[in-house]
Amino acid sequence: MCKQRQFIGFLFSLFVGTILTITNCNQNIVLPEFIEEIVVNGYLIVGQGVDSVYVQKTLPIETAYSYDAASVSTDSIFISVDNRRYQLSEYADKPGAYFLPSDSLIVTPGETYRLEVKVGNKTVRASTTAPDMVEIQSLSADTSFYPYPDQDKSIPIQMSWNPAEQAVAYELSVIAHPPYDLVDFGMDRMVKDHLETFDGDTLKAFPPANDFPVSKYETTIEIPWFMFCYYGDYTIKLYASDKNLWDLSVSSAIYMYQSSEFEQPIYHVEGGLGIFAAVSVDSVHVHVKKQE
Amino acid sequence: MLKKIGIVVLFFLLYLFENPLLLADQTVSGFIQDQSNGETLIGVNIYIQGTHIGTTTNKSGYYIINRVPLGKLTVAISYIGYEAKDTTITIILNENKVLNVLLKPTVIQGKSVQVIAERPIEQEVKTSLIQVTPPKLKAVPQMAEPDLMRMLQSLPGVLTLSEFSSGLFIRGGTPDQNLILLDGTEVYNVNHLFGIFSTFDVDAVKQVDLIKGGFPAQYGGRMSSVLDITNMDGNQKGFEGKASVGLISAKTSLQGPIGKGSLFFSGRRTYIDYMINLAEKITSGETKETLTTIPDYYFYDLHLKLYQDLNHQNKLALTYYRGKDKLRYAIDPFDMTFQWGNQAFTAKWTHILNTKLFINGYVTLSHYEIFLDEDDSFANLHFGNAVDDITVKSDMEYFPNTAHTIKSGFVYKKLDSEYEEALNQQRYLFSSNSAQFVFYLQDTWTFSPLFNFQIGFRMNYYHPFQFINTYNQVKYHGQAKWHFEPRMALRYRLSENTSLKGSWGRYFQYITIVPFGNVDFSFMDIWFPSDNSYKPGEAYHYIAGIETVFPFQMHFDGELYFKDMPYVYEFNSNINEVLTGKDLFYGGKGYAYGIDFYFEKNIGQLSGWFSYSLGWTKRKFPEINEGKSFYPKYDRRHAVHLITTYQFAKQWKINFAWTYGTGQAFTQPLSHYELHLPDRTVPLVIGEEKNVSRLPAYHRMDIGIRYDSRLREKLIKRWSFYLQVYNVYNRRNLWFRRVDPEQYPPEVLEIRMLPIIPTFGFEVYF
Repeated sequence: MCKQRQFIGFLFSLFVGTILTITNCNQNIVLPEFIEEIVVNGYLIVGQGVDSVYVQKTLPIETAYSYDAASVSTDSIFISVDNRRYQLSEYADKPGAYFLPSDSLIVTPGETYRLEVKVGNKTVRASTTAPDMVEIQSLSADTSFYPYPDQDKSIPIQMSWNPAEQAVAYELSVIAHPPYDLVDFGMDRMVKDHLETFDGDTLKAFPPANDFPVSKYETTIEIPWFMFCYYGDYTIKLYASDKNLWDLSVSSAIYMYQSSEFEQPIYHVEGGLGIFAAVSVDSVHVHVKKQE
Repeated sequence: MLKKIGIVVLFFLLYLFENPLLLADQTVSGFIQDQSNGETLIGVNIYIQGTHIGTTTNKSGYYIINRVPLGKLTVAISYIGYEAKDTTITIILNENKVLNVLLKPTVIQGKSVQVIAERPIEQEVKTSLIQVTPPKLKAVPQMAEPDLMRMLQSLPGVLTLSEFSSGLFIRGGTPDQNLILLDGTEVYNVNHLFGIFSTFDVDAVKQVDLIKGGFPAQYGGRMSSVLDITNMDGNQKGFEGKASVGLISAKTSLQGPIGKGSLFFSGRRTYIDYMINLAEKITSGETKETLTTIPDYYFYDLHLKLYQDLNHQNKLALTYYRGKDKLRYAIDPFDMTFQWGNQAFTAKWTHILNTKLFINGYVTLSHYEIFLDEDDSFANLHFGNAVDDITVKSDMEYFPNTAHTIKSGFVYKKLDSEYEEALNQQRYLFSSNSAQFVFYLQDTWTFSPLFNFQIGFRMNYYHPFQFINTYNQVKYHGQAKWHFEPRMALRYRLSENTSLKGSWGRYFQYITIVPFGNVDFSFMDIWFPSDNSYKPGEAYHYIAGIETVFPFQMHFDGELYFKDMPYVYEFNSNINEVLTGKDLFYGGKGYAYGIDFYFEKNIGQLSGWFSYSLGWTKRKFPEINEGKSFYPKYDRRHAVHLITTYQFAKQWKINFAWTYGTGQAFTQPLSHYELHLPDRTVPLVIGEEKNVSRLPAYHRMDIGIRYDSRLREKLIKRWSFYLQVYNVYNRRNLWFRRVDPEQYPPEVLEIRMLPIIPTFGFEVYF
């Protein structure tokens, strides 16, 4: 028994020693090496010129973000369509933002536009095909009542629009007018205009459910009241988007809540990050009134 | 395929029934029970003295010894925690002797039982099996109260993600790859209190078998491991009960004889909500609803078991389990309710057709559901997931002779699953219905006293017959598929106490978890059954090991393993749209390999175990990490556990636990940038290559002290008090790091786990 206790004592001492050694070891997390990447942000609006293509770079995680620090100046930024090639110019007062003179190129439906940016030894390329013009054909009412605290909790607004060839999807945004500066408080709602097929005959069409208001080119939007935050004037923007914007939007969970794995949205930019998309836009005005 | 099965079955039957050893035979069989309460005992050693003939009791406490020699014999029976018993019997030609034995528990815990002079030949070939009994469960000092899943996390090859997770990551597998059975019924969620506690009440548990890999043909449907929990039947001799109060919950168990058997009940409920309400009343005279900002939370679970020993040939057990967590956050203007829980029902009929043929028949129902409901001025939101599992199955054990033990059975499982999302007037539903039919057959063949070989197979017929997705207005039918799972295992005895062992098997899995929210804090998992848009999960296990038994019931086990996973799935966090199951997951492959060491001492003043695991696991998906393989976050190179219980006085025990683990893999933020959307700009962060960095090592020490009063013959038979200190040296282990990209510069936040927490509890036995 005595030997057993001695053995226990020995084991215990050894163990305490080990723990103290381990707990005194400081383990610092070493920061990884920073790798700079080029980011492009550019939207071509159908029927308009090219006025804002941004070229920026990523910044080290420990550095504060600033527009100036992220901006990239380059002479080598081009947009090509068919066999024509246009060199973009940098705004004098806004480094990293590029434009074309308004009369040189108007974005035309059905055309494919290619962007090429060279920064040092890096080349970034992206392309997009412009959708047809989208036009809102009808709106159920341009005035609604602020619903809170009613049970309904949403403002039903029925709208329809024409089909836009080349468009992969449609996106809606609700933008508040001053004095409520809530431009970022937007709502995305994608309406896909086709169904994929799956393994031949195993995928079958399912009769549309009554409570899911999708038809091909019209929808009833039921916007929760908090999208309309308060009484006042709002603009509802309808975007007919290309595949680039569609893929970015459907991977929206990434930029709404980026997890610790730092997944990136779906981009179609070769050699860099960001978005180069062509969209057509239409908008309507809605006034929200207080219920008497 | 059916033809192939038929040929294999025919081969087995011919092989068995043409065996001349099947001729004249005499047997000894029966049940072994606890003398004090009639509880059947699992894994009891029974052997004929002076021979190597012997066996162990099965999960029903039943045993049979074939080809017993004629004449006067002594049957020796021994079991840890019970006094060994020798019984003399006389056997005549072709006699089937029934010998039911009652074993007397040793009164003083920790007292050594008679050392077994000779060990029987083990009929079963058990690789990667760790059996856990209630004393072992309670040996680990825990936060607040003993917990089954926490205890299992201290075994070799079993890892955890954090202190807030009851999930078991076994040999590179994920928690959804573990088959969890409660009295034969599959349980789909084991989390209470967001994963800090598990659903199993240790006072109701009789035995737990954890099979970490290479599991035999009777188990299937999961790729990684099996956790088979058997609840107590209840005291058949007299009424007894237990009541205990801990830091956050109170529980009670009652058991006693009823009819020809027993009834067991246990219940547990947290009382945090009542305490807060009471505190509010005392301090302000008003009720909680109007004052506090702390959400209402409680969990409870109930176990009920009715056991009837109808006669020697027939036993019936009905088990019901119900557990539920509810969190309500009703602070104006929000009103949200989270609920999740399980219900499980088992009807088990045990029938001894003759002394050589033992049958268990089951009807099991398992229901799991989670809900999140929000009904306030912001939204009318509802989402939920429900799984309904109806299973009919039968396990047969046939003991034709001393050389063979045949196990066979079938399973029919109907699985319905629903996932529902509803926001205001819009409602989307994903529902699936599938069925599975399984047949298995297995023979354990004892070539010689030194060599056992186990071979078997499991045939799965999986039919996902209907999937409905109202979001995309899709309805489709899956195609039925057959899957063949061969299994093998062997054991070779190097000496009386040392054996080499190995196993191999193929495993399929037809259901996968889609994590809800942040995977670092996942307690409301969504189960998604396989449709045939993607292949079921598949794994191959290769295991080799050595085990040896030392004097004083000390036991060493070392195993090398390799797990090849040609089809594994990871949740697709970049979901485009869900038309079919394959849209929810990334399909890829993975592997795990490593070595586990386990040394335990079960009896004596000092008892406990030491475990060490060295392991690697990797995954590879075309869509993740640019198609390069990576370590999943639960990969830990080293894991060490030392658990000891030292009885320093008759009534006093001290428990000690120390855990060490290599830091988990994680991805560090590398850079940040701004992304422009049509009407707004969002900041985004880029990480380095996936999971190439490591968090600091995890380690923690827990200590507990327990006092058990003397046994008295009064109303209160015994009482106990325990004091436990969780995380004694207050190491704030890192849980995960996250980046807040909204901050300029993006802020790296380090989320840490629990600090030092002293807890205490009081138990009364009556």
